Amino acid sequence: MNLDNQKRSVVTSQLNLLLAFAGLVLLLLLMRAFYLQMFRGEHYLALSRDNFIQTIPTAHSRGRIFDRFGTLLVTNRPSHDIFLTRAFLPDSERSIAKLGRVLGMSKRRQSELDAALLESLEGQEVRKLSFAHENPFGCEALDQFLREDELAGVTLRNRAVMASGCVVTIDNQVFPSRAAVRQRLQDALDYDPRKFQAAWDRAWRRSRRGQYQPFRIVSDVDEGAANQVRLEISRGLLPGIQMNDSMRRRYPFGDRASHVLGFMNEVSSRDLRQNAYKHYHLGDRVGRRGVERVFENYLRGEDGKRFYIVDAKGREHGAFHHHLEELGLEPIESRGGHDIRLTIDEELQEWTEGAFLGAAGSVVVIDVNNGEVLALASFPHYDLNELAGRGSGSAWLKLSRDALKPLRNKAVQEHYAPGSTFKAFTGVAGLVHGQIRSSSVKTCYGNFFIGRQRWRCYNRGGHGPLSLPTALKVSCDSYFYNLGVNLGLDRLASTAQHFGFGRKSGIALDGEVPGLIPTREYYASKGGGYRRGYVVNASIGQGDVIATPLQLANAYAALVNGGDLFRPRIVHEVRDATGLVTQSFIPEVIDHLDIKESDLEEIRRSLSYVTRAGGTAYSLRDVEKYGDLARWVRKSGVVIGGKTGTAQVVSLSKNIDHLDPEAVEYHKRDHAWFVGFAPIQEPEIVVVAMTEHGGFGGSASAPVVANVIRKWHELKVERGGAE
Amino acid sequence: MNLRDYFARVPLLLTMYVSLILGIGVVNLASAARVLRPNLPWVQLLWIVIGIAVALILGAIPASRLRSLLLPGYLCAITLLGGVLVFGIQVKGARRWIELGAFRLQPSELAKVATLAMVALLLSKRSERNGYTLTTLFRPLHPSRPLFLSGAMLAFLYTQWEVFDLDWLTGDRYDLHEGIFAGLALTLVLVWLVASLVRYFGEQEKPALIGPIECAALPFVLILVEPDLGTSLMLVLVCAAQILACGIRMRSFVYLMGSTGVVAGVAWTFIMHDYQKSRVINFLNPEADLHGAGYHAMQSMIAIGSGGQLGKGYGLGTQTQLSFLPENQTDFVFSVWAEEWGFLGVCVLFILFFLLLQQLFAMARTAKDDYVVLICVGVAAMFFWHMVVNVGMVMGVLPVVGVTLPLLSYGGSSMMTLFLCLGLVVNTQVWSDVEDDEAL
Repeated sequence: MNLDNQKRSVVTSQLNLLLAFAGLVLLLLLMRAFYLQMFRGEHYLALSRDNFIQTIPTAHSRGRIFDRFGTLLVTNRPSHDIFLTRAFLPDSERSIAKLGRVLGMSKRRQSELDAALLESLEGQEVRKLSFAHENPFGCEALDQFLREDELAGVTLRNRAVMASGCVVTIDNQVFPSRAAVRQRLQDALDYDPRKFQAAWDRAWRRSRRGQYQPFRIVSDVDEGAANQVRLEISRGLLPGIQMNDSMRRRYPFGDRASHVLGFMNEVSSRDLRQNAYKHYHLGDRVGRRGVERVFENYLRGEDGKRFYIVDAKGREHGAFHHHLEELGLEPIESRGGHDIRLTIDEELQEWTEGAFLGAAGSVVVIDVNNGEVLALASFPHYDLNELAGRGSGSAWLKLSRDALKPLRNKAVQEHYAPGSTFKAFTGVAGLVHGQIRSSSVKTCYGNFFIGRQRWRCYNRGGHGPLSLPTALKVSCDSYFYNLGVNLGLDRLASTAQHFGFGRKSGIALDGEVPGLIPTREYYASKGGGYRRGYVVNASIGQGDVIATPLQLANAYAALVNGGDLFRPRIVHEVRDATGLVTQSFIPEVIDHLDIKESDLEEIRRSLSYVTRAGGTAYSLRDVEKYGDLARWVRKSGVVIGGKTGTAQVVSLSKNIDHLDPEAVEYHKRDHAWFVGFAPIQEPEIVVVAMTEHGGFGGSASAPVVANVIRKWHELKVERGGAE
Repeated sequence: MNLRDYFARVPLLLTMYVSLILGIGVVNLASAARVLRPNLPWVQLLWIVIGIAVALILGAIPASRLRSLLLPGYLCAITLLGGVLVFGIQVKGARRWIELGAFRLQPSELAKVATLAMVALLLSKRSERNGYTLTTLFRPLHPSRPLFLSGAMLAFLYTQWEVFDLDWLTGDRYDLHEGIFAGLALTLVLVWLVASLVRYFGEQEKPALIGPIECAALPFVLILVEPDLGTSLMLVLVCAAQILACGIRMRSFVYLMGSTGVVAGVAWTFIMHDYQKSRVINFLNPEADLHGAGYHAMQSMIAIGSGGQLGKGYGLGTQTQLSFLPENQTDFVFSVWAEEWGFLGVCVLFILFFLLLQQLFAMARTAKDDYVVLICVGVAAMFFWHMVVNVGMVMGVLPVVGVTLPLLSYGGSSMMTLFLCLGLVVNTQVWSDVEDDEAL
């Protein structure tokens, strides 16, 4: 049938229109290609590189911590965390739908099958679920499907007689379903089912935030379980489950020096938003307390990085390394953390922790000639291993709720009224400012008056006439009331400040509090103005005077070493992984008091009377009470100087004798101080013990100090006086 | 006509463009398949050789004899389509292939060519002076047509009843339900057959037994239920292009498009529930569900975009060589080309395809016969739509449906289809001014 002319013209115009349309569509597609390749090319190039360049951090170990003689206090151990990735976990409903579609099952049959499968997972003994399927086409299709496409865990029987249907068997341990993976993981870990279920559910809920991100199910599983899980992962039985190996802290001595060493925990997502944490990743652990926190930057080290070319299944590929060169991606070696050597003496620390008598408090042992802290203990202390392993969260919660505040380092983070231990500094102030000489005598009548206001000496009958040494020995209040008033608050304060009161000592521990030495200015700014009574209280270390045990120890160290105030040091030196010392902390004098050597000698001598007949700590020589310790104090020849102190917690009514601990309930009892130093001729160490609510310092804290000094002496002899 | 005359009449430019595209395809395939199936380009070359032979043989059949072979060919294709639903092997939820020894035949590919040719023949037999109207397009409007349509509908529902949640109809009695549906469908189709035959033999002037619309509708439905959305869509688009080339009145065109759009839109937004929609989508397009379509589309866009101006270099495409790109020998060959040769390569390919289309349209313009026009337009539409849907899919502007890129994708069936199409075109050119008795 030939076309006539009229028809032809119609056709030609239609054809031109069609061709124009085709050209237009092709042009639009070309514009899309232009957009993708020319306009967004760099973006997609970066995405493609994200695909095939895998960055794997190379682990490093955190620096270890040693005591001053090289005893290992903190080290590392391998730890294994287990994660799930939502997108890679199989979905039983999908698997069943796949199976159902192949078999030609109804939706209802599918959901029945799903339910049956779940049920078979609950009951452990049923591993296989079989059902007959009568649709021969479905059976044949499944047969084909199983040959082509893996549907793990499904097997088919009666293939020979498939015309009449078949028996399909599902192995619930292998069939891709989330419940099966969960069950298998639980078996491998051998955990309590309820707890594991809760942990799993939590991770599963969280994983909604990122389909392709791993979320942790359980942390720090033990080595045996980790091996089992690793095996099952390598067999492909745990799709969507990953295990991450990392290092955690191990503390060979458990609770030893827990407040000095401090602990670590995981960075929170809130931390990660801050600039200070820019080198951290989710899941990293960071030092939170003590040396772990303060020396985080030394201890931490740096993750290294390695770059791999991988294919879509994550296997390493040999070629395409030029992309790495173009991007300048070279492997970065990991840098291990630096080791730290403390000034702490592990043996003395152990003894110190054992010697403490109260429920809560602290003990500080400091070397008077360089400010090194030889032992520092806060009570109650805690087991660091519990805070490093699995269940650290609940352990931490328990500690943080404890009424005795075990998490607080009471030697530096808590301040108390120094009480009578402060009287030595009032005495020094008197000498420095020429108010008294050591031989000046004042008389104690048991009372002290300013106008009509009365202050009492604890000895109501009065001590009679006293010189400074005697006043310190018996700890007479009236003597120092008098001296304080004559000195005035500011002169007292300026001397005390030379001993480091009222400001942070600068020790490398976290959360140190400054304490307080009040001045006239302080009262003026506080409002209410200054009254003369304030200096009366301050002169015996009460009122607004507060100090930390460490401050007190350091102040006494300056008092007995000739007036040099050192910055207390807890860290000796930092060494890199090869053992080379990278930083060493040398003694640093931060203040000096100009005072005649003979005056200091006088004070030191006066303080030695405290442990002798008539002194407030004379009971240390009571063999009946202290046995071996008392015998040692009597006979060793090491003379202990010191001062007792009692810090009033609440004012008790007058008819209760607040020196009798049994008569007062715990939280209202006074805090008990004792500061000791030895040997008296040429002091080497100062020991401060603070027993919270210990009552009288002479009985609660003095034996602790004596015990520590005794151990120190023994160790010194043992080590041949090298130290 | 001797052999030399025959080869002289084979259109030169068309052959040139096709060869260039085929060359690009094999070179590209060598890179795409290097990792997983390095011998694939050789297999493809074998298919090309066979294809050329088939096209040349088809071209050599005298035009009038070829036309008389079209109806048997069409019926043969329909039979195969029916057969695949019964005997076909199921892969990933769809029955599309018949296994013949070592080969797998995809009848829907053959059906595309057969339908294209059949529709061209039927349309060329009736010419409407001012273009088709709705009524002429659907003529003969016969009482049997609703019977046929409802029969087809029921057959469709029978095969895929689960999709539409007919549990409430059937309760637990599977057998009863299957019997009712199958029986009803069979009865209706039989009644239609009888009624049509009665009419055919009862009237003086023999009307066409089936019109072009039914001719296209039957394979469309059969392919859709396999299910194979991509191929059935191609079939419709190709036939639509042929009808448009014949001319359709503007008003009818607007009515047709408008009403289809409104009905589909209303059904989609107001009547169907979300779960039904997702079921329909999953049913029509199972690949999307099984592979995670979003992932594939994304990886493909990364491959194309990262190619940039000049590409990453032959054999150096990381998306391709490291297997991030899925199905890179078949549906995603374009992405391989774009990644390794960049925008430059894409431009070259587009220009070649446009020249090919332009050449086919030039042949249509100079044709003396409606049949020739419709064959050329149909074949052009075949190339065009395959390319547009495939490239649109890999560039992330169209949903992921399994449509290959003509002359570049690996695959025997699709290669055969294209060479059969080219054979039809060659045939029209060779015999355009030759009488049948001058045959070889």
